Amino acid sequence: MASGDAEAAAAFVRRFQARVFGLALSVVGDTGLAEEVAQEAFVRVWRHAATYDPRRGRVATWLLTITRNLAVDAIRLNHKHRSDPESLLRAMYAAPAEDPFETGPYGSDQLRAGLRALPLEQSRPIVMSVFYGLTAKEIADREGIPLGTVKTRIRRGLARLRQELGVTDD
Amino acid sequence: MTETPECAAVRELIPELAAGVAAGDERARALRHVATCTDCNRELDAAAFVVDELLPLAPAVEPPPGFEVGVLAALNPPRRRWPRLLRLAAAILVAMALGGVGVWQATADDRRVADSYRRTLEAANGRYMTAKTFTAPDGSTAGRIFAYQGAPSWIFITVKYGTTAGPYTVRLSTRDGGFQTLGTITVQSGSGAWGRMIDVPVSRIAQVSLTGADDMPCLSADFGPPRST
Repeated sequence: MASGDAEAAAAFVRRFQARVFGLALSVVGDTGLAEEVAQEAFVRVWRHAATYDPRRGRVATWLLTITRNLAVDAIRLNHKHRSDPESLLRAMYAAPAEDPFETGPYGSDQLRAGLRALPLEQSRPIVMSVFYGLTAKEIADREGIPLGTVKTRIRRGLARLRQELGVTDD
Repeated sequence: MTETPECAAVRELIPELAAGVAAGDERARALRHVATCTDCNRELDAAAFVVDELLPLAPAVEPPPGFEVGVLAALNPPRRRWPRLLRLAAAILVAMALGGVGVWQATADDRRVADSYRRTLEAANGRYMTAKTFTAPDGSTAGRIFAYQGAPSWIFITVKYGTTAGPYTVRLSTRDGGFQTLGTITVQSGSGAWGRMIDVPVSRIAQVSLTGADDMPCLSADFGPPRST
């Protein structure tokens, strides 16, 4: 991947472009801006491929994390503050498309089910934090609820999602 | 395992650390602790794993047509791709210029060139192409922009000015007062090249400008005056 080979680059982009653009669009809510973010994410990953450490996780995870970080930077820079997590949550609850490059759907079914089962008061701040890059303080200010309450709801929600994924402290 | 007061404070912050939204000073303090505390480290890893797994749940959406082409153009080294494009652009420009003169002079040779230009545009699925110069604050020519009206329409920019280095933001204004940021061109040792598709008709472009850091000159290419309303 680090060789810069044109065919490898084309295969890489085709493999991930729907997921990268979809995530960018989910965060920024604007097609043009999402396109810029997604392109920059591919460029960053491609240029830094030599520094990628497989022990850090899958390439898709790395790419999506970079996409999310760039998208959050973009909404902050463009003052496109998001506070409408319900539509994103609905899209995440929905049955996903099959990933044409893998034998299964996008993402974890267990986690999707876990997210669906969470009370909205927990899933809402989780989405605002993870996808929109808002701090607990910013969420508290926007939602008009105490900071401690926001932190508790996020912590409890993430703990339940951890159980769905089978992550334990053992 | 012993949970210290510092552990309790860090656990409070772990969801924000995992989501990458913790503020700088808090983040640094918490990460210093996490580096030395096995339990908090494990807790952060588990939270970060959940965050990592949440991102793929965002719906996959096919990007607009031309996205892949744009990304691949950005991924491949300009030295390998642009000369061919530049040669094509230059050939079309020369053909266009010669074609215009040929029609005016109504000579057989020049009509052939004009015909060649028309056939080139036809093969390229295009309508016309134009070129403008970027003017630096001192009035000198700092680069060129080629604008191609077709399916898709695109612009291609070359910069050759001084010895500056750094990114320039490419902005486009339209004759009806519209405004959009198209991307970033990286200039090294005064030289750079960049291109992308555009969704604005070339005939509607009023100006394309390149804006860099405060110590870099603003370069602009005028296409035509804003349309009076």
